[in-house]
Amino acid sequence: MSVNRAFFIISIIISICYLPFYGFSDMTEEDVEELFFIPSPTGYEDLMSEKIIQKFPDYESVSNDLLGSVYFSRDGNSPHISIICGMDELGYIVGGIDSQGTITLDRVVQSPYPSFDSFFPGHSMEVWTEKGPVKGVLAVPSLHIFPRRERENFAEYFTLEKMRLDVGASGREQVLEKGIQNCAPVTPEKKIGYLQDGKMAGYFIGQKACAALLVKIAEKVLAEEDLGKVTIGWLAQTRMVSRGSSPRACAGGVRAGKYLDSFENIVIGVFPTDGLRNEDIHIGKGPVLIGKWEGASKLKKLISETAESRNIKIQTAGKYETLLLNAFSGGKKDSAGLFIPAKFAFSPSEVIDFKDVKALEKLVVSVLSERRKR
Amino acid sequence: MKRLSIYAVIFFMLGSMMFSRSEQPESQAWSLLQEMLLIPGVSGQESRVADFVFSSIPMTLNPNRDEMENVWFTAGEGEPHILFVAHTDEIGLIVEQITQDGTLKVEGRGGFFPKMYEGHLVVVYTKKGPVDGVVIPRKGSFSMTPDASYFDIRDIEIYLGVSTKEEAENLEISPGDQITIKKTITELSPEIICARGIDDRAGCAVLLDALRRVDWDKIKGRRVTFAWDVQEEIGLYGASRLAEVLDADYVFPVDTFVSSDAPFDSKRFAQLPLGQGAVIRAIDSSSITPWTYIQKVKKIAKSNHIPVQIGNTRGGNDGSVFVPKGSVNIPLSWPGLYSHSFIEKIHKKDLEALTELVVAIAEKWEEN
Repeated sequence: MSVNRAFFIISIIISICYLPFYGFSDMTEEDVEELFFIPSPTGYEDLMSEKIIQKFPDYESVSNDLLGSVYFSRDGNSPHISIICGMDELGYIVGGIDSQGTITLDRVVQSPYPSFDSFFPGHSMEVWTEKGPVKGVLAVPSLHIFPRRERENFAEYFTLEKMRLDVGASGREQVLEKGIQNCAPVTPEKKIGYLQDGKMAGYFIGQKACAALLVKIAEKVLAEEDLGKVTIGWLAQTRMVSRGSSPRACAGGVRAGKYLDSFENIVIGVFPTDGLRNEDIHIGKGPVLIGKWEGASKLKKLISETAESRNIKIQTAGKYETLLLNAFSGGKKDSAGLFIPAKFAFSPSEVIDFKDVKALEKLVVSVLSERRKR
Repeated sequence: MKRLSIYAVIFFMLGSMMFSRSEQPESQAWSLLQEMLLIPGVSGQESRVADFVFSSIPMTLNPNRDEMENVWFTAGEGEPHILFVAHTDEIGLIVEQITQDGTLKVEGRGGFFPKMYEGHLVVVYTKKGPVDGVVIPRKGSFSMTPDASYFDIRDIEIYLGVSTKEEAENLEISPGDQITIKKTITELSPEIICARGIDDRAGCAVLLDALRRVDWDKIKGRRVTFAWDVQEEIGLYGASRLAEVLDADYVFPVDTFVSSDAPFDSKRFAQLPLGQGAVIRAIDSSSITPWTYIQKVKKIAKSNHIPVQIGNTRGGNDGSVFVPKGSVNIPLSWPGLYSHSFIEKIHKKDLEALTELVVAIAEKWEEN
């Protein structure tokens, strides 16, 4: 047997043994799709949390805290860095069930803009119960018997106040028999669209892509010999702002900020390219680095330099605030926001470009690698 | 011995009843409906639905298909001529123009609330195959002072993921291509579903199911025509064409009865509940059914143990264009909720009762 042939066979054997152990493979659209269909309204992230933990069956350093956030950690020979994202999406809960079997809805957290609710009447929803998902539809007036003079004011039927969920029951008892109870989470029925040139569309698909991305990065951290001391966090309740005399923003983020002792932190999120923002940021042009690095942030500088040296296109945006980013900003932390740009963000069909997700995966792994060298 | 003989006779009668019942094929209307709901057929673009219908009719029944994509067959000979008709088209959108940015401007087909499209996934059906798109939300939708103005058809613009007209054209998208919401069927229970296009794929499914169940040998001394017509939603054009070539004495359009048994509708009229049977539509916006014939249908239903309801509602029906030609128009329906939305709602029992009613009328109209 020639040396080359022996080397080839040994390489194959090592590869076969090595890959399943770490379960590492390139990120694909299917990874996003897998998490996309798992409901995770703020405060109801348990299914998502379970799914993420299942991704690391043989690894002990994955756990969730009492709020539901999931943490993956690995020790290494460089200062501790945390990479985090929220895993919660906007959703509704069952607000009440009337004697006719019609369900009213309430929201858990504030929507990003007042007309958010107006997207859903006339569409299908899912109520998540212990018996499994229950399908429903949000009632609308029937066109033919709706007085013509009222049609112009149709928008008034598209508010939370007038949302009526029909689950095919003819009385309260039938609703309860389906396993539906007050405060059960309700989400829009998930539909995914594959647009041209690698673009994906769906409800909160950007957020789900962030979560899937961190799963892949965690797998990479496991697969590499040493990328430093890394904690990866999928945080629950990042959209929760408690009300009252002393409001506390981003329950999950504030809690994680106290729990994690890392000086450097990368916050992964979604950057709206239009509507909510007017900056010249586009999907398909690379991940978005929030804030200029000129200043005290060595982490932002490292990210920027790494992107340049590895030929990874990024876009930079000025000051952009999210609840989670704010929770990790200031104080004694050096935090950077790296966001996936999204068109029509927080609409039923948010659009992301999968190339941006891949670029962000490559960038974060490269930054970890560069930190080790540093 | 005498008692034994009586038992034997009863046993024989029960056995033959069961046997004759098992001869009637089981209704496939529910599964046919669900199959047909996923076929796109916006008004004027019904060829895919017409293909499905045409291929489902046995060639022994000599089906016809005209250039408009109307499909029909006639069995029997003589008078009267009884026509059942359902429409294959659905409300939806048509590509009007590809913009320089590669987005699509559209025209509407049929009446609906355009607002329901805003921000949702749609499918453009091109020569090459289906292409996913998103109806772009208005900028005002994201504003902290929301745009509460009426969302009009002219506000609908579809993003495909391309940024130039050339890229969109490379997808072989052309003006005139049909667009539907990304179709799904929402099962609320094993007997209740919601979907876009139940109006009038349910009617189409009823006729396809009924044609399997009618004993065509019983059609003697009269003609029975089953027709699936086009462009109902935009002006009853397919029916108008059929009215020129089919001299029907009695027309039974099979289409939705818009019920008000839903949260936002006035209960002053049309409150027919789901699951209580087929509907004889007495009055709508296009026709009044003579009371004599309502009673006649009701009698047939009763003698065949078919649950029926009678009601008045709004909206038109294909039978109305046959009336000026001398036909009697007797619309048959199921109670449907949330008409012309993406969540039109139907109950299996109503659909199956309607199939039985069509079969009974086709076989027994003269006998009553």
